[in-house]
This record gives sequence, C-alpha cells and structure tokens, in this order.
Amino acid sequence: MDDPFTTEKYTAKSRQAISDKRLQGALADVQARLGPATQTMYSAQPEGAGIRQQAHEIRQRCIENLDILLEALADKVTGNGGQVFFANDAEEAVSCCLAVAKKHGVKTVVKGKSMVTEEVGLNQALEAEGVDVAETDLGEYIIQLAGEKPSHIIAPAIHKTREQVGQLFAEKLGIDYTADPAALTQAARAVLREKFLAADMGITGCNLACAQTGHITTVSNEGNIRMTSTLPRVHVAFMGMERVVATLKDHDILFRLLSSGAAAQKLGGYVSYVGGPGPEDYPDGPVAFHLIIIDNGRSRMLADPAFREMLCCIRCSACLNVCPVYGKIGGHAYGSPYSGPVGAVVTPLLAGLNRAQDLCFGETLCGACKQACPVDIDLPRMLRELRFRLAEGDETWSATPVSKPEKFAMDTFAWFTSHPAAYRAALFSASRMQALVYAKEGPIRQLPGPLAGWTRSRTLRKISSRPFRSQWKSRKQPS
Amino acid sequence: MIQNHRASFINRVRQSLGPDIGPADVRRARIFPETSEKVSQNLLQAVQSRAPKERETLLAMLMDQAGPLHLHVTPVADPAEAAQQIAALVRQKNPEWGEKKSLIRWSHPLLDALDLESVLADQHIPVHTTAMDSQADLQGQRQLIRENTVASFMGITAADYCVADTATIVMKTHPHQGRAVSLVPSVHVAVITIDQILTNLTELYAVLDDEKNTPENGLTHHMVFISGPSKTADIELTMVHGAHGPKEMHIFVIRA
Repeated sequence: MDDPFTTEKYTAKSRQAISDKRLQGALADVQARLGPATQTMYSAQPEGAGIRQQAHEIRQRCIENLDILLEALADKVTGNGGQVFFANDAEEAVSCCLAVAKKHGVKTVVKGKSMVTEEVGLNQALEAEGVDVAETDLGEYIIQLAGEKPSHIIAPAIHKTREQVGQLFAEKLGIDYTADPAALTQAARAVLREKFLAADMGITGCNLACAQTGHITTVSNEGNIRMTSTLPRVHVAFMGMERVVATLKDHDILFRLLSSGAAAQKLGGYVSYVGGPGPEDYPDGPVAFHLIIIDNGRSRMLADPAFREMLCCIRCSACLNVCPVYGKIGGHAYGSPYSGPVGAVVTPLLAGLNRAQDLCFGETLCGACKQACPVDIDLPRMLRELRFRLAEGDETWSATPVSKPEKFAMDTFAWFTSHPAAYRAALFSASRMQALVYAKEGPIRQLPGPLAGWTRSRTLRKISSRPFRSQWKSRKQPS
Repeated sequence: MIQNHRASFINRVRQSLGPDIGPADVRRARIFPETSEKVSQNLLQAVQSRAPKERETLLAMLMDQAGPLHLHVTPVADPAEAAQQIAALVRQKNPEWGEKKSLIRWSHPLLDALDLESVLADQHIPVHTTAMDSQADLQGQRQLIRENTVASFMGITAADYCVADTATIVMKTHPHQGRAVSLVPSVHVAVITIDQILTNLTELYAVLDDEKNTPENGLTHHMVFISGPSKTADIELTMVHGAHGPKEMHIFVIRA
C-alpha cells in the first residue's frame, strides 16, 4: 500500500514554498479572507462568545462515551438496512471497500472530498484493481488531474493559479485555453456530470454523525457530495471513529461551528443526513449503503490523556487560515492529508512521532490556532507535549529522543536553574569567558559548532557582567 | 465478505477510555436523555402558536438572508399564482444540456394543486413526476424516472420546512419524492407555504427532535438541507455558481 505521508521532507519543502512568490500570494489571500471572517461568524452565533467552549464540552463528553455512541450509530444504521464495518487500520478499511466494489461489480467510482480516504490511501488501491476513480470536488478534481496532493483541507487546489488550471484543463480535457474561473468550472461540470451519471459507486467521507438518530452527515457547497451519495447505486462512506456526536442538539451546534470554521458560513450549502439505503419502491437513491468506521491509530490517542483532546477535532481547517507557519509554507510541506496546526499534531500521532518530528517543532506556539478553533482545542499544549515526548523519548508512542546532546544540555540547564548558587557561579564564569571569545561590542552574531543553528537567523545578547538580581538590588527605589 | 471486528473494535475503544468510565448503561442513559428540555418545549409552542404577522416577519427575514446566497424568494398569493410564476420561468430559461424543455416534479399534494400539466400545455412542455407504483416493475420505473430527471432542465419540489435565518429548505426523503429532482436539473424550484417557515436552526432542531420518534414523520433514511444554488470558490477563491448542482434556485412562498 502507498504511504500517504512524506513528512520527512518538511524542511526542504518549506524552503521551496517560501521562495514561491505565487504560492505566497495565494496563501496570504486565503488567510486574509477566511481568518478574520471566521471570528465574526463565531461571535454572531446566538449562544454568544462562549459557544466554542460549550462545543468543546460537548465534544469532550462525546469522546468520553465513544464506545456507546459508536454502538448506537451502528445499530441504527444496520436497522435501517445499511452495513457497518469497523476497520482497525488503513489496510482493513481499504480491503473492505474493495470487497464491496467487487461484490457490486463496480467499474467506476465518483468521490466526494474526504481526507480520511487520503489517509488510508484508497484511490491508489482502487486504481490498482482497475477501478476508475474520479474526485468530484472541483479543487480535488484539479489536483487529481495534475497528479498532486491536497494543500488545504477544504480548498485543496488553493496553491494553483487560474492560469495553471487553465493550462491543465486545456491539456487534460482538450478544451480551449481559458483562465476564467466560471468557464473552467463549467468545463469541469460537464465532464463530471457524465461521470456522476455513469458511476457504479459513490464514496464520501463523513463530516459528523449523530448517534441517537443513526445518520452520518456530509456538507458541500458544490453539491458534488450529494451527487456522489444520490446517483450511483452503491454509497460507501468513510468515517474516522471520533466523528460522532450524541444527539441532534449537539449536532446542531457543531454543524453550525463547522460551517463557520470552514468557510465563514452560517451553514454549508448542502447538508445531507444519510441513515441507510432507501426502500426499493422509492424513486431514486442508492440501494446499498456501507459505513466504514476507522480507527487507524485513533484509539491510541484516546488512551493517552494528553492527546485525547485531539479527537474533538472536526477537521474544519479554521486553524490553517490563521497559522503564521501554514501561511508561509502552505499545505504540501506537511507531507500529510492533514496540514497546518491540526496536521502538526495529528500527523505525528498517526505516522509516528520521530518520523514527523519536524512538524511539531516547526510551529510557533503563538496560540492563534486555539483562538480560531470552533471547538477550542488547545493545539499549542499538544505541540509542547509532543516536543516533550520527543525530547525525553516515549515508550507508548515508540519515540526515541530526538537529540541526546540537546537532552543532556536541557537536563543540565534544569539542574542549574534549581540550584541558585551553582547557577550564579556558572553565569559569572560564563560572562568572563565570553569576553575572551567575543571581544567586539554588541550581540553575538555567530555561535560555534552545533550551536551555530541558533544564530543563523538571529543574534544573541551577551551575558551581562552584572546579573539582573544584583542590578535589581542596587536599583533606587522610587519613594 | 471480509470479517467484521465490531466487538473487538468497541472493546478496544472502551479499554482506551480507561478503568474509571463507569458502567455503559448508566452512561447511555445520561448521554441520550429521554425527555426533551424545557427550552425545546417552549420553542415548539412558539412555532405552533405563531401569529400571521409574525409569519410575515419571518418571510421578510428569509428574503433578506436569501439575497446574498443567490437564492430567489418570491411570495405568491396562492397555488395558481405559483404555477403562473413557474410558467414564466420555464418560458424565460433555456436548457443547459440539449434543446428540449421538460420538467420533473415530485408527486406531492401541494404540487399536484399547481396543475402544472395544464398551465404548461400551451408551451408544450412535458411534466414528469417521480411517483412510483409499488405494484408494478420497480426497476423499470426507477430507470424511467432517472432518465426523465436527467433530461429535465427544471426540477420542482416542495419541502418539509424552511429556515429563515440561514435561507435553508429542509427535505426529508418521502415516497414518490425523488432526491435528484432538487439536484440534477439546472434550475431548482421549491414551492412552500408560509407556515412552513421557521426562525432559525435551533427552532428547526427542536421540531426535528420532537418528530424523531414518530414513525410517520421521523427522520427517515435521508434528509437534506439546501441553502441556495450550487457554488464553488476552488479556483483562486472566485465565487462561481453551478459547480455540480443547480445553477439557479427559486423558492415560491404561498401566503394563503
């Protein structure tokens, strides 16, 4: 199976992105349009400013009762004539989908945008079996034609200019070149309409599920997910196991916040509730519905009190739209279907801490993501926790210490700070020693050896010959 | 079929939650409350006892919200006027795919009352429905309905509810009411009555919650909320209407 993660290239890809002027413009644009607008939408909710905290409590309560919610959801869907499959990992999820496709003699598939299917590498697996897979979200369709990966959770082709899309369509769809978004959208509309009408199977993700009523819900503005879940005779939905709430009331609040967080909307254009296949004597709709509920490492997050909070996430991508790091390096650098702050936490937890270590070290801990999160997830706390586990090493996550010298240096520093006399003595001798190496006035411009990285893009102030404590003591008290 | 791991899957989730979570039945009772809250009861009462003047206020609110979403809301006096308005639209609009104009509509009492078949007779426009005869060949009927839906340039539906604050129509899936009618044709027209308008989503969910346990109007196997025509901003964040679904959407609100 293809590995969906290429997180090792984080630093190289970031550097590449920063020097890409067109990408910088596109990222600045998406952040300027969606970032502030999202905040306005939150505060316009009838529940008032506290709604994000309220939603956090709802999600926390749902996650703490996840076993019950999943059972209730599965019972209802099964009772409605649907099939529910529980997949422990990516491989099981994919083979389940392949088995369904085989059973129904599926040759062509249309897909709604779904990050969890990217996570399990579904498209490649279907294509390997000779099934024709068409992504139908316009952005996702563009990157599928271009042979690329999504760079934003809800706007996957945000890194492409209209001219690039025009050239791509001229080349792949054989239309006359145009850079007009309306004409390009119309061209894709015509091609994809035929695909929708011909497809044997539709595959979607799941934005949220309601356990009490037994429905999964999907949202789109284009209507492609409705097409995908209405026209083919078989509908398969992929769902990360945490995407469930208990009641309709919970669902109402979270879906409003999802719409606000994702696109600064009151409500997404099309919201579909799917609880099973329709009876045979209904005029249309799929005759088979399969729900694949995926763990793939999520129960490990559930079991770790420090990372359980991550399962509250509803993948709206609001944190991408405010993150100063995402705003510079874009989505591809993260090497994961999940980019931005959410990606920096969730990717290490899915792909392995050491493998994705650069992601959590790359974020700034500025806290903008927490402020933008519709369910008030403390991403900075989890980033710090990941850094801690990576520094110390961690058995449950099979993490080995990132840098032994750094760990030694930090442990030494910790010892000195808790022994004041030794600390003062060390500072005193260091301030005398530095005078021998750095004779010049002003800050230190280049540290030696392994410390040089610190001064590559900043200077370091010299240690004062008189420590702050003694300056403070001799300071004149205002009378 | 490959093996399903439900029991072990749920068990692992339970184990991951830790030893202190408490018995499942106690937690189940707590997370799925039996009785609806007093707030919901009050909301329901407000919906049921709404005065005509308040309904007009909601209609005005719906029209305000619909504008920016490119959703056209037109109040009409009665079903006959709704039918005339639809006839005018049919005359005005050209089909997006192919030359011939035809319509597809739900089989629904409100739409039956419009008598579109007669109103459109002088334009020679065929009006198909999604009515099913459960005694006849189901496959064949579904096939024909699909062909008619794909061939139609306009789809006409009713709705269960309409939410003013978000300019949303709510449609549960009922027999004889095709889902694709509001999706595949280039123009979607929904006909509703003024008493179907609710204030906001909170009110809607109170109503849905109240109905969820009654078999005849429970949530059914499928329900959709539609707030305006299909749209996308996937190319340089430029808004374009008509990505996959209808390019145009109209709601006619019957006042009487």
